Amino acid sequence: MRDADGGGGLAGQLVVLARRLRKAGIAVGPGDTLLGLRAAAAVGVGDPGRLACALRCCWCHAHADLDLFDRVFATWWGRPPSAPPASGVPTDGGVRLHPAVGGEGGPRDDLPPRARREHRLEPSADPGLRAVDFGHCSPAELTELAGAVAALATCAPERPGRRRRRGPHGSRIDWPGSQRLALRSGGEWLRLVRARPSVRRRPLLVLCDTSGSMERYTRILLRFCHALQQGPGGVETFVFSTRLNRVTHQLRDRDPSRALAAVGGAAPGWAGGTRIGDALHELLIRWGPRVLSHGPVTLVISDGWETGSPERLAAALQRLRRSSWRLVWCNPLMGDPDFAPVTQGMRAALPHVDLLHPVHTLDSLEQLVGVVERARHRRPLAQASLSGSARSGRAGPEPVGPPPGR
Amino acid sequence: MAGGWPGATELGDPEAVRAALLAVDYVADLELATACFLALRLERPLLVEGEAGVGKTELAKALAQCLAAPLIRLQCYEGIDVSQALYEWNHPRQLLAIRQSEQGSAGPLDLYAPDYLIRRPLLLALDPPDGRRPVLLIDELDRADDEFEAFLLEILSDWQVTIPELGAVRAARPPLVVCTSNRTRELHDALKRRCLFHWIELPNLETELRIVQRRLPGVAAALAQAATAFVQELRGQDLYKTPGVAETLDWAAALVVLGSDGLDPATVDATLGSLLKYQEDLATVRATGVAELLARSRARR
Repeated sequence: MRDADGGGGLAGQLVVLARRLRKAGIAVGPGDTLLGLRAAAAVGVGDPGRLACALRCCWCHAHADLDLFDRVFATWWGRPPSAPPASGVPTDGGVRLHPAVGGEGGPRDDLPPRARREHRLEPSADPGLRAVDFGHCSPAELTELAGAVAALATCAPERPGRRRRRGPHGSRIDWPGSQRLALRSGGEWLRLVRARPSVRRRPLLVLCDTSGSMERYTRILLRFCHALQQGPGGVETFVFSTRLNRVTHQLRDRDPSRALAAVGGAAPGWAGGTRIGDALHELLIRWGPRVLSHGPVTLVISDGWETGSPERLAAALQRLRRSSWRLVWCNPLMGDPDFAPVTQGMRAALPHVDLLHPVHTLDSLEQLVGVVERARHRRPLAQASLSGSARSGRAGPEPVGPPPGR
Repeated sequence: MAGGWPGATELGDPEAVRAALLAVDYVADLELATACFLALRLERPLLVEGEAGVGKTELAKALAQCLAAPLIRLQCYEGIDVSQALYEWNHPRQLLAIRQSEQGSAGPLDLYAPDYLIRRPLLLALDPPDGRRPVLLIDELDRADDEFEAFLLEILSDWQVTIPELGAVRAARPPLVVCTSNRTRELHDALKRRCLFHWIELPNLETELRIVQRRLPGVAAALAQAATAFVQELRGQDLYKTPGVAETLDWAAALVVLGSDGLDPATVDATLGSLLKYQEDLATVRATGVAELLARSRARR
């Protein structure tokens, strides 16, 4: 942030502001700077309010940028760059760093360095580990499993698109296409072109519990979330304990240990208590329109230990289910042969989920991926969907696939 | 002021734009007026985001009105494509022309002449048939697929499109483009970079009251005041969908139709459906008590 940019005058000072904004995390490119100069010339520079209005609509590209812009602008205007600038970035003026630049290196960077290279391990290094409960694994075994988890998970749920693609076995006739073809043969309809619906990606919404009760599973399951996020687009990931945090951005980092560390940094409630109902309500109210509007497959990964009110949880789930194409509750405790959904949270949740699925072993994760991918077809979900019995809360749910190991 | 706008002679600064918008009953704050002013002056598209019902679409209509320009509207939806947004060839007419020429009437036949072109909103905006420079509203852009967004880039930055059979069509004078988005998904950065961005906030009590009085001159002052205060109170509740300005206007209109001159719990309860569109929200409000909220909203004034 030195003022060595010569120039002086309006142009020079605006360039300084643009650079400060860039440092604070708003992407102001050279083209934007030019646009800003033209805007400033159009409204005049006498009045800071007016100038701020003009620059804001040129340089901010999202709602989240607005607040940040105002603060940087205020510092810039109050301390003109001709005066000796404060040493360094204007972060000291209480400026919040954009998530893109803040939050590097959380405290939980205790994955072994080896994890970096394991990304391309074959699906299972040791077949014996496939059916072992993650909770019973030693750290070394977990490390080994992490690579396999990363390799298996590229879920891409699908849905039929609105558009049609040409296809010889399509169910409908593509009239404009046929007409164009007829035109080529002098207006004679020699052949009809058929069309079938295109296939589009269905979004995937992952909500992962990181509270204290999940501790044995959190790391490996987050690794699973990371792998999902690395797959094709349209994946949104949130973690929750007492609060809800969006970690989609953090998990986009290709390096799993860095990504998980960033999640640790971004989710302050890590390993605390669980208020699933509150977290889901926050999701519905704050994020609802953005993450739920295209009918996602929703995975809630949690053991169901709820410290808040179960009614609130039930209400939130009911609503979440109506906005989701499928709602799958993934519970790592289902590995226990004596498991029954008797905790308050699970009891409240059961009537509102499409499927309860275990996530305690590599095998179960693999099945989960299969379930999500097949979710393209109409309800009921899998052969063991909860359509009848469990929705009404009478019987316990059956997980898909073989019984849980050990 | 930029030429080509019949109604824009006196829009020389943001305040003038604000006054012009007010004259057509659109209450804008200075920030929004500045954004509109710059969109006109710099010939950039304006991207407006905000909660549903804060007047994003209305803004485009109001701008068209105060510029005395025609409004061309492109409503986006999932799966929208070139043939619905830009142009399409008139296949039946082409076919007829072929048949006619087979009977050997006229000379050589050009099937891809402009006569056979069906112009859709984007092409109409770039090349208006009557030569009047339009306001182009691209509504709810977030509903369209991201491929469509990429397709818009050429139009929004260079004001031209290419029709393979005819060549490039370039706008002599670019239209004023207003894109709106409800943020059901994040628009792509490339598109945002080409636009001026403005976020419309929900208005505060005074502003909303002015909007109600402007848009619904038939509402008694006391009723408008009470209704607006109640909506403001409602926005403080824990709701899935907080009512926007559009809902306030609907509700006020409903109250006028019912002939009520003040607010009492029974009337509010009966008309709550104009404000809240989720059963859960209705339940929340009724649990808190309509009378209680009314009392609180009276204290607010």
